[in-house]
Amino acid sequence: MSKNLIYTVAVNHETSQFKNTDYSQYCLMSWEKWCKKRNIDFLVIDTHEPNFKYPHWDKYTIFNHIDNEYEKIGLVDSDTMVHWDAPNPFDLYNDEWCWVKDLSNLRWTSKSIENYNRFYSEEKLDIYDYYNSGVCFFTKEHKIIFDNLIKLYKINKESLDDMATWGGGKDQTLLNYELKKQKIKVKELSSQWNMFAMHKKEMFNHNWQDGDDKTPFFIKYSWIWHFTGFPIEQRTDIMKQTWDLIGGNYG
Amino acid sequence: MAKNVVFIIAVKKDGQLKPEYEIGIESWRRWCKKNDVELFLLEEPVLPMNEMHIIWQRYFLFDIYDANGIESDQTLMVDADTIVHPDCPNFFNETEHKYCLVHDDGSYDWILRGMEHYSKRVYNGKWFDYTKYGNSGFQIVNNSHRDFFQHMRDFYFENIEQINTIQQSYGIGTDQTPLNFNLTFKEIDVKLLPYKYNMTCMPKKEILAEDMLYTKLGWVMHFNGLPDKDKSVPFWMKKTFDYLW
Repeated sequence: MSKNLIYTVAVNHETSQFKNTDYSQYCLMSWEKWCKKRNIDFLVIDTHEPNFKYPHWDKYTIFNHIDNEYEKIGLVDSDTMVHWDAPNPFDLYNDEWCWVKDLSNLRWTSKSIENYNRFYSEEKLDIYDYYNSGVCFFTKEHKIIFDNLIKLYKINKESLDDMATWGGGKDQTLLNYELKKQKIKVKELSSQWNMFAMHKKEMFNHNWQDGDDKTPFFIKYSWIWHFTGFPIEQRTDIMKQTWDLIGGNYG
Repeated sequence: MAKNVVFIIAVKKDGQLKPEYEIGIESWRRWCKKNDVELFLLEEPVLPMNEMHIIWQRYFLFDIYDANGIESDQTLMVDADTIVHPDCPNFFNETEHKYCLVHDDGSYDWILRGMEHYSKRVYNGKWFDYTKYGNSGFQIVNNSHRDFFQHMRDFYFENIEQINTIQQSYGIGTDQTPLNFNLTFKEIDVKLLPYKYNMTCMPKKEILAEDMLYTKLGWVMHFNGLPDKDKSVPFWMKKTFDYLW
């Protein structure tokens, strides 16, 4: 029986405002331990492909790092952590591309969809059918998506690098467009599988009206915690606090 | 042939309805006319409001219809602090004749505290998937839900002390959380419609602003979750109505 793979990109890079390893250490610890317990391979891409200006594009090189051995693959951003008891997401799907809808900031999304439409002028992306790329589960048959996006980058490197500074993201919207263009079968996962914008959703809170249980809601009620959507300077501290609180549960 | 109905609670307080609610209702009046849908305003409570919170009284819907000789196909029960867009499609065509809600993720603090309190104090520790939790300010129902509405009322009177205690002690709303629990445990087939049909907590989505972006992204704007609501809700509802209608 073939194995499955989870991978992340953890690269320190001059274009990043904060050093990746400062916060990704908590990501790696949680995923490494969780994957080991479930007999899932875990791969960290920690070298930057110099043809890309930003390390966000390194995730699309995954098929250069692996052969054909993995049937199903999971991509997780390096600012995520997994709950120690999270079920196996590879049991949730067959051949679909799985991810979580993102309605957290419709202004940002609206602008981003508009900006990146120039590369997909034939496609119309519905803002309510828009997904977050920080956690994706797919299969090796989806390699074409990765190849196409790298090709798109190579052809449009200058303008894509420029647009990355406009405030509408770097690759997430392109990935949404590419899946739409290729008519890829999508399976929407519940937000428990990519709990982003936790500050806005008030998932850092706990039930302050009841008893002594001060466990934050995101730990109690979700599987993959995505530490994004709040002031980025707080990320390392929040991920460290989380690990200090629950790191002992991973065994 | 039975028509579809939009049902709004419009019970006056001290002889008048809030002006912003009048505005919301007017938008629905116009939309209903355009789409051949009946508008029904509940202007008098069924029971004294000190016996049953007015919000809970919407679950008398079918009794009200029977008493008034109204034959309905589907009904949208919508809060008065909403404004419908003139171009809003006829959402009754998207229901598959199921019980329809829109997921609410505006404040999981509020939602999860409410679920935990009700679970512990009323539902014997039972739980349901909070990612399917719907906002009760936009509910589409039909005649197949008569028994469920009876259940909601029975539930209310059987648990009135606990419900009142929870409502008063924890500030977690009225019917919304019990509605979600009861829909789950009664195995009602619920369809969640997209956010554009009940745009709650718009400031959190970063769309409620002078450029009126929110009016371009959806159809039913729900003016809840706004800071300084006594001033901001009337302001934004009037501005939106004037802009759209």
